[in-house]
Order: sequence, then structure tokens, then C-alpha cells
Amino acid sequence: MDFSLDSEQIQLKEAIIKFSRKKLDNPENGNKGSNMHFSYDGWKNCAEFGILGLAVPKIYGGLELDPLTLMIAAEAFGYGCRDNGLVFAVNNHVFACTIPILKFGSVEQKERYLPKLASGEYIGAHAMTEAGSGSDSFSMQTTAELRGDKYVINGSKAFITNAPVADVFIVFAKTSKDRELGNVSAFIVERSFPGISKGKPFEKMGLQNAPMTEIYFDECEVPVQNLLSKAGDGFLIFNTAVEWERSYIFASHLGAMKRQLEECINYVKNRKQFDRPISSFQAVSNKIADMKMNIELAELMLYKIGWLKKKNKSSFLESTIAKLFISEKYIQASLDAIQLHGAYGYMTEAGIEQGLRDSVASAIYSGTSEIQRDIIARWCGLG
Amino acid sequence: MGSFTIRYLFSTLKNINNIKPILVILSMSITKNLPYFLLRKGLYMTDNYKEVIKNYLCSDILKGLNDAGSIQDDRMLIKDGLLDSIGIMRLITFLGEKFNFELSEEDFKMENFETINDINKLVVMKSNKQ
Repeated sequence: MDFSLDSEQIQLKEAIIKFSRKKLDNPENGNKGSNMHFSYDGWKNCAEFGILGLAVPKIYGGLELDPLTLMIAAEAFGYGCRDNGLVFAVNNHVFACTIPILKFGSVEQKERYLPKLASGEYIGAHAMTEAGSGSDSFSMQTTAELRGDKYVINGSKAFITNAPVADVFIVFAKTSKDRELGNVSAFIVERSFPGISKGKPFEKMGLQNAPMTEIYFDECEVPVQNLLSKAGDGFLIFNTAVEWERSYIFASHLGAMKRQLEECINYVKNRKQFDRPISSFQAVSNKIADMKMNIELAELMLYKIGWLKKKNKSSFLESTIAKLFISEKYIQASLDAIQLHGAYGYMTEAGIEQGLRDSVASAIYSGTSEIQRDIIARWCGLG
Repeated sequence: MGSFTIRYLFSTLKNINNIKPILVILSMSITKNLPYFLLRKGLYMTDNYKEVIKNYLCSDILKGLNDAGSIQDDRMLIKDGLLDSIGIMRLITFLGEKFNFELSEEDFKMENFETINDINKLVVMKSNKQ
């Protein structure tokens, strides 16, 4: 097996890191406290560089990266950009909205939406979760009724990333209230469609630059041409989207973990106590060793997923395992980063504690850690 | 065909009385490899696919069913609650690995997984494309 990156992948990685540090690494962006903010400047810069269209075919204005190179790009983005909220907002746009349209959209839908999503003219979002259905996503209450040449959607969705600023939503709704999997459909819903409204942005513990709110559908009319794939295919579309999220959003988290490790190594080598660097104390170096070990293991899993996707093979189990492992190790690494920096790590001005506040949600979104463990156990034939 | 078989063949060809064991060994060797050979050549019989699919599903995927003979080919697996979301994803992974073909997102339609017949039809179609 050849684990090395080819020269193009190395060049792309370096270019994304350089771009992110120069154009996105604004210290003011990372820590907005309770002020909800969306970095339009950062978004515009990402669009101009091409990050929003990395997965989109060239005929629609994208860079058409293969799945493995895309994984490397997502990691580089997370490594180079300290604004974890912006990274999260971009990744939701790319992997939870653009990818479903790319994979399941008709030619007409792709022509209508992909160029605008790739250019950043449209901001995308993915609306599955409801107040009463998080882990049990298919107990959703939002319905879609076919009336003539339109679907009429009624219901609401909660905790939708990018919703306050999004132009296009992938909305999942049921054609009846039964729990049957074949009753869920996916729709491309534009902000301008009648009957859609938004709530007030939530104040969150972290990821401040990834605004989030509820969206409400009150007799929202969606043309039948905006049905994604076929009626009843919503479950498979959702599982595909979530498989991409669990892999590629967490590739960016791996990048953030690598950045954290470098900062911690630099600090512990220079910080002296008892006339020697604190790195010489095993209690400190053990934490560094664990961070390094987890990064290497996460990287192997993610690159395997990129390889599987490149071969058009299912990576559902692998993405579940990767998501579970990386989210929990990311939170631990963020805690350790604070601990290693001592009191300085606890101060907001140092920017280290922001990593912990941003990382905690990773064990919740794209399926909680508890659900990931459930899936893995079921895959082993249990339950 | 194993090297033992080849050596045995050469040593016993001299003695015509040993033809019967030779034929037995040859047929066993061929039939062991035949299904795989036919599969790669797209000549696998449809019923063989169905057996493989049913055996896999009944082994631990379909709830409450562990006998492949008890499931009808046109039973609505999803509608009847036998195949759930994790079961479908495991099935997709199994099909790709077992029959060695690529399943892309355009194959991810519920109509491909409603019944044993639907799953079989998908496998036949994908295998014939190779």
C-alpha cells in the first residue's frame, strides 16, 4: 500500500494552508463570545479560492477533486483556518447540501444549483433535525403533500447550521405520518419559496461563526421539479449525506487537532519550570504522545474512507467509526491543550480554550457518539 | 487446481484403472471454482445470486427470520419492518464486497431494496455491466 501523497495533492494541501492562514486566519473571527456572526468576508475569500466548489464537477464551475484528494483538502482547510465556525459553515454547505444535489440531483437541478453553490452565490444548508426528532431522525413530523404540480411542506426543523444566512436547503419530509423508511423524501427548498420563515439565531457554546436557527414551513410550496431523486428515496439520500459529513467534516477537525498539537509542542518545549522545559516531565510528554497517536490513527481511517469512496465502495461503517473516534479525541485534545498551557490556556485572549468550546459539539452533530456506538454494535450483529 | 492434484494426475495417467478418481478430483476442483469463474464472467445464474442474498439477509439482518427458505422473493422487506436503516447499509456494503462491483449513489433508490427480487435485479444488472 502506498500511503504517500502525490505531488499534486501536496501542492493543493500547501496552497489551501497558505490561503487559509493569509485570508481567513483573522484572530478576531475566532472568538465572538455571544455575538452571532457569519464571516461574509471569509465566505467570499473561500469562494474566490475555490473551496466551496472543491467537489463540484468542472462543468459546473468546481474543481472536481476525487474523494481522496478532497479528504486531504478538507484536512488542510481545518489545519490552516483557526476559525472553526467558518470551517464548519463551509463544510456544511459543501458536504451536507452540495453533495446531495451532486449525487442525486437531475441534470436540470445540477445546472440550476451547483454553479451558484460552487461560486458561493448561494449558501447551502441541510434540514433534517426537528425539536422532537434528533437521533430518531425518521420520527420527524414535517410532511410534504403532493398537490398538483407542487409539494406543500408543513412543519419545522431545528438546529440547522447556516439557516440564518442560507439560500438553499435540503429539506427532508414525510409523505405520511407512518414510520416506514420509504415515506421520507428530500426536497431542494429555496429561501424565496412562499411559506418558509426562520427563527432567531441560537447562542451557542462554540462555533460562533456557524450561525444556527430553526426554520418553519407553513404551507410552503415547492415545485415538483425540486424533489431530489424519487419520492421515498429520502432515507438513502440522508444516509449518503451523513456518510460524507462524518468523514469530511471530521477531516477538518483532524486538521485542527494537528494545529493544536504543534502549538502544544512548541509551548511545552519553551515553557520552563524547575529549571527545565515542562516537556521533560512525563506527565506532560504522555499527553503529547497520546495526541500524536490519535492523530495518526484518525488520518489512517480518513484516508481509507477517501480511498473507498474513490472506488465507489460503501464507507458507512468506516465513516461511523471515524466520526466517533475523531470527535472524542478532538474534545480530549482540546482539554489537554488547555491543561498543557496552564492558566494561560484558560484565558480567552490566548485563543486555546476556544478549541474546547468548538470541539464539544462534534460528539453531537452528524449523529451522537451514543448513536455511532449503536450503529457499530448493530454492524457486528448485536441488537 | 492444486499442485497435489496435478502431480496425482501425471502419476496416474499411466494407469487407466485410476481414471475414476481422476474424474472425481477434476470435477471437484472445477465445481469449486466454477461459481467464481462464472460470476466474474457475468454468467452466474440468477438463482445463485438470490440464494446468496437470502442467506446473508437471514443470517442476521432480517428481524425475526433466520431461515432463507421462509422468506418469499416478493415480500416487502422495508414496508413490513424486516429491513431497517442499518440493515440496508449493511446490505449495500455486503453486495459491493461479495459480488465485487461498484455501487454508486445512483443505485441508492428504495425501489432497489424493497424485495428479494428487487435486490436480485440490482445485482444482476451491476454484474452484467462488468
